[in-house]
Amino acid sequence: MMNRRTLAALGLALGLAASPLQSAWSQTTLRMWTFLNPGGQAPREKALKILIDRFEAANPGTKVQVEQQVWDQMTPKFFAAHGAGNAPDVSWVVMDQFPAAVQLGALANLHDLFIKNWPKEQVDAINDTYWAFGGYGPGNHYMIAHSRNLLGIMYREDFLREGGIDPASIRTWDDMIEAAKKLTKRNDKGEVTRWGLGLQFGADKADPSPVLNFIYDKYGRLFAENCKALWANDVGVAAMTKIASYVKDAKITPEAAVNYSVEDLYDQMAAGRIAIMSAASVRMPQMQGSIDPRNIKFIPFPSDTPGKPQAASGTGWAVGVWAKSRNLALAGKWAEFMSSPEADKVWVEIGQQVPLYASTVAAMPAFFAEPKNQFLAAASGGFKTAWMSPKNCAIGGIREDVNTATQLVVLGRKTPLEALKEAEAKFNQRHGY
Amino acid sequence: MRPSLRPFAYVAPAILLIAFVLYLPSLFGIYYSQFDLRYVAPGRYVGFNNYLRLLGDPDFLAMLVRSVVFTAAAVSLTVALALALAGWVNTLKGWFGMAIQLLVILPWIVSHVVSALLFKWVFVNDIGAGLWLLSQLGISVAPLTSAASAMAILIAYACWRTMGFAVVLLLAGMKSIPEELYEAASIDGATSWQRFRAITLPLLKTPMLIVCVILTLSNLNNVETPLVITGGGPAGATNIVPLDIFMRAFARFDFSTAIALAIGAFLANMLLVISYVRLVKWRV
Repeated sequence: MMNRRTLAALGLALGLAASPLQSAWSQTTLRMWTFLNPGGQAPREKALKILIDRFEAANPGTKVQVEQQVWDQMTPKFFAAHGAGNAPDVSWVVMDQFPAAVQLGALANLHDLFIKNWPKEQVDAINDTYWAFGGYGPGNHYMIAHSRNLLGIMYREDFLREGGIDPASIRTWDDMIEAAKKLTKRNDKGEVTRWGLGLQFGADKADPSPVLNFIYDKYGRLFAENCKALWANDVGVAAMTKIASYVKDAKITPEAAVNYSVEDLYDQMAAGRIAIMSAASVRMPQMQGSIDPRNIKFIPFPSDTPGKPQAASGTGWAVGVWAKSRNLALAGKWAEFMSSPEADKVWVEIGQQVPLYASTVAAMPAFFAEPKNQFLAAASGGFKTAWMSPKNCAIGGIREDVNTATQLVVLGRKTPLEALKEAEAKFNQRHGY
Repeated sequence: MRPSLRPFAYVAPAILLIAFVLYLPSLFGIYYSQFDLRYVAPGRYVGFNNYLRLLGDPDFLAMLVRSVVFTAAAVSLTVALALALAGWVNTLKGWFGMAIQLLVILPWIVSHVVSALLFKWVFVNDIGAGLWLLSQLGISVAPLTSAASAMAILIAYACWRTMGFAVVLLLAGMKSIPEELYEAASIDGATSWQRFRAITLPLLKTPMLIVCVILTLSNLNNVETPLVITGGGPAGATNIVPLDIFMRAFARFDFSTAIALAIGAFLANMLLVISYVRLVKWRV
């Protein structure tokens, strides 16, 4: 039979054993889908880790569990998980697909969760094109745009210097093509050892095509009111002809671009095989890890109108809360924390991201003046003329459709008009427009 | 438990697991393929409209033909080369034979994505060693810029990756052929070719057919290879059934036709599995 001392010891042991269990039971885990790995070493990943640690410290009993995803499959997977009822509490949705996420009812209204409590100065400081994109009338806001990304031009300054080209002289596409011709280098056998202009036309892991930029820049829109694609027109044909000529006539872009994904293009740039390329501003920190930061620069696309950047695709990641989250309030708290002015400083300083708030820019002048961070100002400048997905239309597959059309033209299988008509027809049929 | 029920009890966990992870999703797939799937959310009932839309796609027939060409070429080339290699390895003794077998099977046991990336970086990418070596010989090629060479690259990779599996199976078949048959044939004056044609080939019929069916299944369901190596390009020249399902669903967000195609591929797989089961039971 147990004596009193044994019972007391047993009780103490059970109590001690139960306390961590109890704390584990009372712990709330917030699941988040993003392409960032908080255990990774990329600048954005380090920033995310800091924010998670701070949030967990400020909210005892809360754990933010990141379930890292492949970036180009994450959004459709989120839609599927929403349909199946097991989506994460917080998800990053690619901007192209954000309107579709709202149409599906997959995202909670952030205005009700936390924006309604923000002071006017905070809203004013974040109120820009991206902010407007997340709003659906007064009292309805479904995302905060993170990892804001402008498609533009990345170039190797050392190569330009070597070729005697002043980057400031590249003010139009024609200037850029002339520079790319000078920068294309051949060996004694006539083989190209370095391409002047890197573009990618592969359908897998694609960025928005420069063809779309040309159309938007000249035409002011890419879709009709009823969402039908408006690409097979004079402007589209001229743009497609121009882009294909860089491969076929000017020979400043490799024919292999028909199969390049964006990743291939960055690999080529890192290997010193490309001097200028169409690239995403958000990839600059990564490229600065592969190439001497003094030698890699980013500017918005030049336009055919000197002094004004070409309209380029403004993309990014719409961070939202799953509408059916069982931890809606807490998930909202985490989304708000990630998007707060304090967090913005971490995203900017550690993650080298374009700031969400104008106040962040004002608060960190020395940081933005550093040469390796000048691309942030360049991207911010380009956002003023950027185009974004129409909010009333689902446009999934637009990148793949236009890139496939470009492949057909570059390989001489179709004329620009035929290829664009086919791309339009496929896009419209798929979406039922 | 009654002895007659005991075998069912033994296999029940496996059958339940397979039913849960394979047949249940397939049944869901068949059900959902009859709805308009806008961004994965089932909309209105459309009956067989998704299948009709798939059949009406102008690229669909070409994609099917391409898949058949890829699979037939990859399987027949692999089996032919594996047969020759297995015949050679069968004559090798000691550590050298073992080393060759290990070398041959390595691509099969390495992860698909890793081996596809390695193949791409070394042999396909213009910053890889393979094309650099060719350029040193004065041969300048960009293999992914023409439909024929891109498909040839895909077939070459499929052969390289699956060769080891075919060699191991055919080698096991060769080793099971009684030596006395070859001795008797030699005494009768048969040449090596005659011994191969009259003894080896007929007695390898079952393992060869099994290899053919398994490799057909493997190639018909392999999305990683075309996705990593060619991305389906140029201009869709290497877009085959598994990649088409993936691209429709995850690149173009057209889940309606993606699921219709996936169900079609599932039925084709079932037919191949049935033929495999029948072959396994077949005795020469």
